[in-house]
Amino acid sequence: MTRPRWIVSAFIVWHLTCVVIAALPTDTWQPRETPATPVWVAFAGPFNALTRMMDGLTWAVTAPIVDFRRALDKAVGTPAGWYVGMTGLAQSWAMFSNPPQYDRYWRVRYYIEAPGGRPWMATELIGPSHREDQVRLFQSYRDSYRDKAFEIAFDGFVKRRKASAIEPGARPEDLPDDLAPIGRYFARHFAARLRDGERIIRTEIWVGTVANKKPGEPVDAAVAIERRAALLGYTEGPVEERLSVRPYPPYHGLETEGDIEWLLEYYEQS
Amino acid sequence: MTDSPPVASARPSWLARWEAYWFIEVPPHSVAALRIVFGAMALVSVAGLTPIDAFWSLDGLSPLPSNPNGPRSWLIDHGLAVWAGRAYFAYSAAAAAAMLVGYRSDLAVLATFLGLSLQTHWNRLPLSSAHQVVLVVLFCLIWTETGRVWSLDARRRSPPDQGNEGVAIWPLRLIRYQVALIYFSTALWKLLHPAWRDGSAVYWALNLNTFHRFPWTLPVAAEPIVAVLAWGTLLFELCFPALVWFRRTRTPTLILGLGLHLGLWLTLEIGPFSWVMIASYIAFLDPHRVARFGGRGAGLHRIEQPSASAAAAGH
Repeated sequence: MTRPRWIVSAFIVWHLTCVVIAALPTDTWQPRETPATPVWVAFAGPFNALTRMMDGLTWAVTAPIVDFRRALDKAVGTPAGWYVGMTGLAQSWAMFSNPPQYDRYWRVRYYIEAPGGRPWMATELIGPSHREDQVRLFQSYRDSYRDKAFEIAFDGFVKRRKASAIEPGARPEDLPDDLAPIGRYFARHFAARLRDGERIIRTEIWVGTVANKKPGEPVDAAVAIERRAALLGYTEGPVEERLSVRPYPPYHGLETEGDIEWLLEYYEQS
Repeated sequence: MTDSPPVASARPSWLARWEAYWFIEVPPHSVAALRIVFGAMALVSVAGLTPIDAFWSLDGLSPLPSNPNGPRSWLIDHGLAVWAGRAYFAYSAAAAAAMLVGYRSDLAVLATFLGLSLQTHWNRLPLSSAHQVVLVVLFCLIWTETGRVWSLDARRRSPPDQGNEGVAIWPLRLIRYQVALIYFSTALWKLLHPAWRDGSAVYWALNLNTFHRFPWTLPVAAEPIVAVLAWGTLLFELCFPALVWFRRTRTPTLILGLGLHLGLWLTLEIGPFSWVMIASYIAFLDPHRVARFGGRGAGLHRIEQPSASAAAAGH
């Protein structure tokens, strides 16, 4: 074998080792001891047996892989980390590994100070970016990037937020800034429609959740209609409230619309 | 993962087998096809990341700078947050377009890869697994000549390059290993979670309001089918590396994968992920067949034919 081929061979071995370390689940990845709970009503017998079988497969497959990855990591983990970091090959393929069992919504609320007039507020539904009661076709492709941005920002926010910060008097400086770009981006766009002299004095980000029905559960039509009515209120743009402006809610304050439970996750004041 | 026909011969040394496995020359059409398709994917991804001011400008939906002395802070402090974002967008679009048409192909692949890599540091918020797949495939394409055929570069050469000279197969093989690793890794992550083991994961995914393509509730009668799909997906992903290794099971595996990703695309809005994964299957196709598909089979006589040692390295 020629010298260049030896060099390329070494590179191939090194590269494959590094991407295996980067792609295989990390040390924190351990099989959960809890077996899956059978959820199916129809075909309960065979499906429950299959569930037990998958549990068994999990324990059998994961243990040797954890050991293998740990050994690789011990041998070359540090330089491999540098390599994948520098080349941009760090990779995680955990997509949909734990699909949420709830729907999520996003809204931004602005409090506006008007010169010599009453303050007023407006609430804008910003997520899902595409209306959930419509078929997703072309525009939804672009919208999917915005929804992804919300989710990644919120994941980072939740991870970095200290448990002690979740108390009614929490101030913005007590909270991580992961959601700040979302609030500022939409506030800037909303501010463009304000009249002269009006300015946004507070921006709040609310995250709404609704648990999805479990397999086999019937749909509660009345609840579904109530939620849809609540969301339809936002379809024409920000909902303005000029007559009765509510006092500022406490941090992590709760509001409900239909079956959506909204939590105040982040706010900024100016 | 070999493309050589089995030939009876004396058993070569492991070194010869290694050399034949990684360094045999194949027609350049497979890597050219990957350049075109992934150039298109990169371009479509860049187009999806619009409006520009939302995803490229540093005062858009982009993380606040963590380092007050870093380049992002500097750009913001100097009022360049918007213009830098626009310039970066233009660069990314131009690089992907050059890759697509094969204009200075090797440079275009490198430029697109660098642009996508930088995006992770510039604004990671809207980036999904599709971005990562494009990145890891482009990394492998950097090491080969992707513009030998089906490119403006080939047309500009005098006489035009017919792709009669081969390229080493190892970058193509690296892509195969990488794609197989993606499936295996994602299956391992899924095994961890009870929702995949009890078969309800696809049910939950189809019900997500930010992903479902059709706003209809799944009929209760269809739920058992969804359970079977969940287990089937998990097993397929877990077995993909093994199934795609052998010539006999490779084609059915790729067809199954095609069905899986088309099904995902039909039911869920997950950006370009389905198309990117389908595009990566080009790496698994026999490069000689890809060349014949491109109508250049007659000119392949000059490329080294699979040797006995190469064949022995396969299955």
